[in-house]
Amino acid sequence: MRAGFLLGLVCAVVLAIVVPAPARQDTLRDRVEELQQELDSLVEDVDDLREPVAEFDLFDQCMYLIGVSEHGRAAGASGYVFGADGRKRRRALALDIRGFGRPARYQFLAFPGEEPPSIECNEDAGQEETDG
Amino acid sequence: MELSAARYADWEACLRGVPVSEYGDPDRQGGYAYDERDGTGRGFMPALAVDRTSRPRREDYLFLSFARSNCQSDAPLPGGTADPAAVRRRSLRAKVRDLERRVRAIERSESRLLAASERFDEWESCVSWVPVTEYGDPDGGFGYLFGERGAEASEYRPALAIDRSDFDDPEYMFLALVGGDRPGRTCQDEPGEAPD
Repeated sequence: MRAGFLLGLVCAVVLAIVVPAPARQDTLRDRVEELQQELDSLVEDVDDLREPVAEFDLFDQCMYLIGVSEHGRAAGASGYVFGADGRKRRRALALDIRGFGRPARYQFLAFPGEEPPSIECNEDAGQEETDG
Repeated sequence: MELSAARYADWEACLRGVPVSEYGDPDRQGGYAYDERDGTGRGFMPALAVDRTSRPRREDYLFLSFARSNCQSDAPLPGGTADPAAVRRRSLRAKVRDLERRVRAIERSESRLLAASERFDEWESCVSWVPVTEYGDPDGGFGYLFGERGAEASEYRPALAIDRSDFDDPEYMFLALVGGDRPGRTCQDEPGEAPD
């Protein structure tokens, strides 16, 4: 969307250049030329940003949040049995994605475990460019 | 691209670290009591728990948690590139002034994008993927023993543990800062590297 806007802006500058300007406005034409050069440079810079932005987009599409909560109470009043004698209680983390009761205490960032994310996770993301 | 940068800004504002360590012996010689209830008897399993005792950066993992409220990034500035350009009929001088203003706006926008992409790159290259699986039955049929102190534990619950299995894929790859790594300070591990 923004890339289209930039291209539109370039076209606007080009149009500004080709519109005949009064002779007394040479300085303005010089300024337009400078602006054209600045824009050319900017468009190059923005092009260079496509790849890192695409990396973030891929990451954003593949990453998801998973609810995790801690089970057990403070000071070992209740919890998971820990240790050889079976008397100690300790808290531990478990998934909390069933949607019942209170919301999960944490929303951890996760990726699917079975595939590197760039292979499958963005298949549903639409017609994305994946090479070049 | 600006939308991506805005999403990343939201992200950054919403992320917070949760110190987590693994308790129990990965070789299952000690730790949490675990029973598959398949006739093999009770044994030990490690599990993950919030680490409230280690000093900062001494925890095993700093898992990244996403807060869903009170963490919005600032709204776009009025008059920035997010605003549609008004179409006006103006003199060449006015057009040039307008173009100058818009070029400056794009320059600022490009600077913001560049800074955001650099921050993301720095952050991503410091984050590790930690293989995690939940062991035990969510319906309580088997798993980690759970109960009140001083009473016989008769309940079975699942818990999360680092997945070191060579045979199956882990259920999840949690994103974490490992071994005291912090973006912008120290990143000892290679990007995306899982723990042993």
